[in-house]
Amino acid sequence: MKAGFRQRMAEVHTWMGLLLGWVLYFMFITGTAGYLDTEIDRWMQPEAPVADYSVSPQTVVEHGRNWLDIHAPGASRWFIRLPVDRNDPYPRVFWQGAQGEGIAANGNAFLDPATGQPVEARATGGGQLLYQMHWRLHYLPRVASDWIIGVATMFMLVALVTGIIVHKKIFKDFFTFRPGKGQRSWLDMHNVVSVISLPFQLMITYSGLIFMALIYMPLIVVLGYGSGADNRQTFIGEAFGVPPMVEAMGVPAPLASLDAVLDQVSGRWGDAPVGSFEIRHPNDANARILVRGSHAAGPLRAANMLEFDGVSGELLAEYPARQSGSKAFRDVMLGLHEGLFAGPLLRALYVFSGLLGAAMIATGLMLWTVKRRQRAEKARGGSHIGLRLVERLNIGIVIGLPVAIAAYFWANRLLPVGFSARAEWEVHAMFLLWVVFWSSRSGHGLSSNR
Amino acid sequence: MSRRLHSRLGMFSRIAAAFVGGYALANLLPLALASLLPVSQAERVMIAMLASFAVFVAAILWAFAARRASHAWAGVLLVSAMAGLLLITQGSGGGL
Repeated sequence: MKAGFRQRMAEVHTWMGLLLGWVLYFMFITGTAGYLDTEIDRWMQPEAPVADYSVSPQTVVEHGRNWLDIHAPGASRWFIRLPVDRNDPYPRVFWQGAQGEGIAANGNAFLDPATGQPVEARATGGGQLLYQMHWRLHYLPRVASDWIIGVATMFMLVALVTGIIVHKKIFKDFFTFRPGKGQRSWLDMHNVVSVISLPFQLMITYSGLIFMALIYMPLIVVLGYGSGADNRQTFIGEAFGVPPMVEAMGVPAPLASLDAVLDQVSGRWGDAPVGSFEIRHPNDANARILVRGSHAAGPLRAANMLEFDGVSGELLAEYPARQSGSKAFRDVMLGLHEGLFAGPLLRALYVFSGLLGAAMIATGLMLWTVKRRQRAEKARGGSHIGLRLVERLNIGIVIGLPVAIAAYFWANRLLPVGFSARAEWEVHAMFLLWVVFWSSRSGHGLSSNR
Repeated sequence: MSRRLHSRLGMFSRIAAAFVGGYALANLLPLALASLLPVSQAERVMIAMLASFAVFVAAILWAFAARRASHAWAGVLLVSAMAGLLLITQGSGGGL
């Protein structure tokens, strides 16, 4: 390693970009689709009713409570989400730990705001599934996917920083594109898309790591608070300002009037939207009601919260959205990452930036092969296995993934609406077609020397 | 041949310094520096977690920019040791 600093950084850039570039490409494409999750949901469930945001919170909460009373008795937790903006088009209930014969312990349902009955629509993973895939991948246990995307994102951050270091003329290259010149054109394209979207790429990568910081950097909590789940919980309680968990008393008591609670909420918050009701131990003497505001009102991904006694309806505590400066920084980073607050124009910009990120990765991967392909054609030995492997992966993933996602959409229309496992098979169709695409190209790449 | 092996071992050692040493440093240094701030312990840990990835990147770059693999290790270990010492003397490593 006698080469200069910039040369070494260029090598680091190359390898960090290459090694998990395909995972990153997958994350960028599915994550970009995730910015349109609600819209894709809508397309994939054409029979669902049109969203209605004018319905009053009182009505939504009453519908939710009636539904949960019948379908989730004895639950440890009820949850009612209100339709506030595009992120939640329908009122939604979910519950945990319900008891009784023929009662599902955990479950969820979207309610039609007009009738208070579940929305009837075909089963599908929808846009939410593409968004989930963006970080959960698929067919993998949580531990595996967490660490795969973590390492990939860390590589991405190193590739971004080394890319900036290697780059000499950021401004000039912005206006430089020389088409039809092979390697030089790929490099120009790689530079242009990277430079245009650089602030977005830095934000999205760093905030992605912050999302999972508790998982990736658990030792910091251990160093600061000691090891073990109790100490970890202490830290989370102190840092995130979450209300303490109370146990059920085991003595039945009627749940407080949610209308009266809503009146108290609007007395404090005025016209600010109510995002959700969480009811812990409903119909128990120790019930608690947590009312949260909207966490998509702005880039700060946090909501004001009020805690009520679930029997008397008395206000117990108030938890503001903004607490410490460091938590606010974290919440803004997460808010910027998810873009839940974005209106149509900003959302379009998010999608565009996400696509530029995917293009940055794809052109970088292409550049790696084009460079080595030229060298290999000049040399007598021909191409080596690594080059053929990367060339094949490039086509199989850069082109194959969008084709596979198209198959996901096709499956949504082609699978019978009544088919019980249709939601799962939409996804299987996506990955099956990807495999078919892959094997249909097996005549090229690895086996041939071209 | 032995020179090639030597250079491969050097690269392997450098990668280990970057990712293993760098990870240790990313866990220690931000918390050590945050322990100097006049804020609550929860906020120190939060700040340290937010900053840890930047420190990790810096450590990785350092390991690959260093003249030799041994320099890469020396830098990472020295700063880690200093950070550890600071944590102990500040008494804010509640878990130490």
